[in-house]
Amino acid sequence: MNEEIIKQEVSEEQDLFQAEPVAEEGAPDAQSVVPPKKIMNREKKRLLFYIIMITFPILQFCVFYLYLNFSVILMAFEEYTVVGNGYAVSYSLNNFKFVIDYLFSIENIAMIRNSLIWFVLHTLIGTFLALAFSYYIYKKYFFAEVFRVILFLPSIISSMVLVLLFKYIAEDVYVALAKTDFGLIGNPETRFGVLIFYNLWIGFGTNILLYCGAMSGINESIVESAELDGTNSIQEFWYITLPMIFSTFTTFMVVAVSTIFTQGLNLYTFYSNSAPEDIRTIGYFITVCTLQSGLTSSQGGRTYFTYSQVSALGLMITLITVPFSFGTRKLMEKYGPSAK
Amino acid sequence: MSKVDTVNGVQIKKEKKYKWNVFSIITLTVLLIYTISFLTPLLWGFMTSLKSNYQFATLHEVLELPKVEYFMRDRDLKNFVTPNLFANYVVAFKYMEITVNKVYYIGLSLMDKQDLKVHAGLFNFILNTLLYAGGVAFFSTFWTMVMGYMCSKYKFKFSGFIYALVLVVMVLPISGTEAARVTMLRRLRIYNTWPGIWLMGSGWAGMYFLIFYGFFDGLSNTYNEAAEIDGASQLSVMFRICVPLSSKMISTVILIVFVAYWNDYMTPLMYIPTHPTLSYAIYHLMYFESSSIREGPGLQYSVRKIATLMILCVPMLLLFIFLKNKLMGNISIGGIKE
Repeated sequence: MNEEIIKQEVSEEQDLFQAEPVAEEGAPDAQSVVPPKKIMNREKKRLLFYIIMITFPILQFCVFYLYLNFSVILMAFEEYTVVGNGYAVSYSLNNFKFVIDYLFSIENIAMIRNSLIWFVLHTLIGTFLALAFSYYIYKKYFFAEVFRVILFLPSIISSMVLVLLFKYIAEDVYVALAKTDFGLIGNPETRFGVLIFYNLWIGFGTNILLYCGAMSGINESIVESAELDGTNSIQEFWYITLPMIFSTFTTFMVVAVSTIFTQGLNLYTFYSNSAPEDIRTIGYFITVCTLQSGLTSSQGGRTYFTYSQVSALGLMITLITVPFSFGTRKLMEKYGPSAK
Repeated sequence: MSKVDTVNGVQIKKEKKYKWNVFSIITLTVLLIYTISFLTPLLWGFMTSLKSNYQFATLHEVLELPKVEYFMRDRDLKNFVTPNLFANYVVAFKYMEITVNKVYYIGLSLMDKQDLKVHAGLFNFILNTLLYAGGVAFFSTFWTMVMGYMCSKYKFKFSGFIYALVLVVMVLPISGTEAARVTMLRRLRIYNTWPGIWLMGSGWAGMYFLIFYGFFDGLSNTYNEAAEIDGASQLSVMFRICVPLSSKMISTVILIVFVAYWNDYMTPLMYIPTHPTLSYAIYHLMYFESSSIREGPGLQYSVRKIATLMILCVPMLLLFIFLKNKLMGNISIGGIKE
């Protein structure tokens, strides 16, 4: 096309295409001229390969993320009624009204309360313990490697195994030893506390691994110079370690905020469909409705949301937690300690 | 922490001694309590799985050691299983089965035929678990690796867009999608099918995309260029040079994902209900009465259910013991360090 374009491409592709120089008379730089056809072919091949390889994953993403979330939004406004062998669909805001009335009723407001209680306790106790354990392992104190393995075990062993063993101990063993009528999980006064304890107890695993990974990336010379200046462990953690791993810490906090209302607290594993109403969370309720209900509400007795109402609930949760997630990230980046 | 010093030209590794302080003592105490509290249920579970139902449920000997002679009092074992400490495991291996209703959809219309039931035994559970956990682990890791490679090595504008998109997807919490997902799978006629669950599990927009992206971005382009000079195609460069170089990372990610899906019972319960995995089957046994089509002892007793729990966790514990370093390698955005 133009000599300028050819020369520009040549400077990028020179290593690859050491083609024989085209000896043209009067050509200013015969050595660097590469046949444009070869360059175009290579770029075309790369582009073609790129398109072929990403087609399936992009399609999968479009269907299972974009279309799915669009379906959630659409479904939130749909109401299905059975007509013959099929369904009739109408659109309204009734699902949202139903969800709000249901959640804020006296019998069901406990779901919101329980979700918030878990978030607060998990942030205060769970995160604090995870940081303390990770710091202990990072400093390679006594038996650190052994504890690292033990803390990772909840990620290896099935939650069902842990829940059911825990249940047997909290019920059968406790009743046999304490000679009471109720176990800890059967007792209405203790069951929520026991549930919270269990979820904190098995809440370590990948987060310890990630915190330790972040801590191990801290430059040793910084730590050594701090030690020479006479800092103790806690000062070192507060002034050096935490600021250096703050981005990882922020990520965990943002994830915790975004999952406030979707945490099931392993209730389905503890109780299947029959968790007592005073300890249910919204996340558990969504799971039960998805498994027990359908496009229309056909269950007698207990109220289950239809799929459309679950979608409406999900949409409302998303609209509430998205600004909180972004806000949390912004606040922590603005007011948190800086690695600099 | 260890430090390398050079003395007279010889490198000496100095192991730094940690100092005991208030923090380390308190944390050590808490960790010891945690360790004991975590291992106790596992050990108790194993010990209880060796007891007879008579000893556990009738005599209420919850903390005593198992006794073989009590197995003679479990009458349903008679003629089927020789009384021994591992009788519950024999029952679990030979007689564990569940029955689920055949779930049959045409589009969105449920054609649930109550008289069509699926009976599945231990072999089915393990096969389904391998198909589910292995299949999803393979497909999700494969496509995540492909996307990480394509976006890092092919710096088109769309690659930058994909990277930003993944960050948005990870940060944006979308809730309550289960019902819409079930409906969508039924509409596509892939609900309760293996291709459907593998397709659903082929998602790549998550943390592991960033890990693969970081790794391939750090891999020198010299390998690619040298191979292309020698006439290798783009496909050859990817699968014969770059993928083998990332084999450690791929195997670590597949392993982590496999373990997670081995233990998952909720997804099979929701999306492939007539293909029960081992986790799903054990959940079913715990909470539902299951009619057996075969004559023999059942798994209705707690001691036998606990034996099935041990069967579920032992493979993963063995995997963990042998591949601990891989599973616990330091994961960071930018690669995996072991």
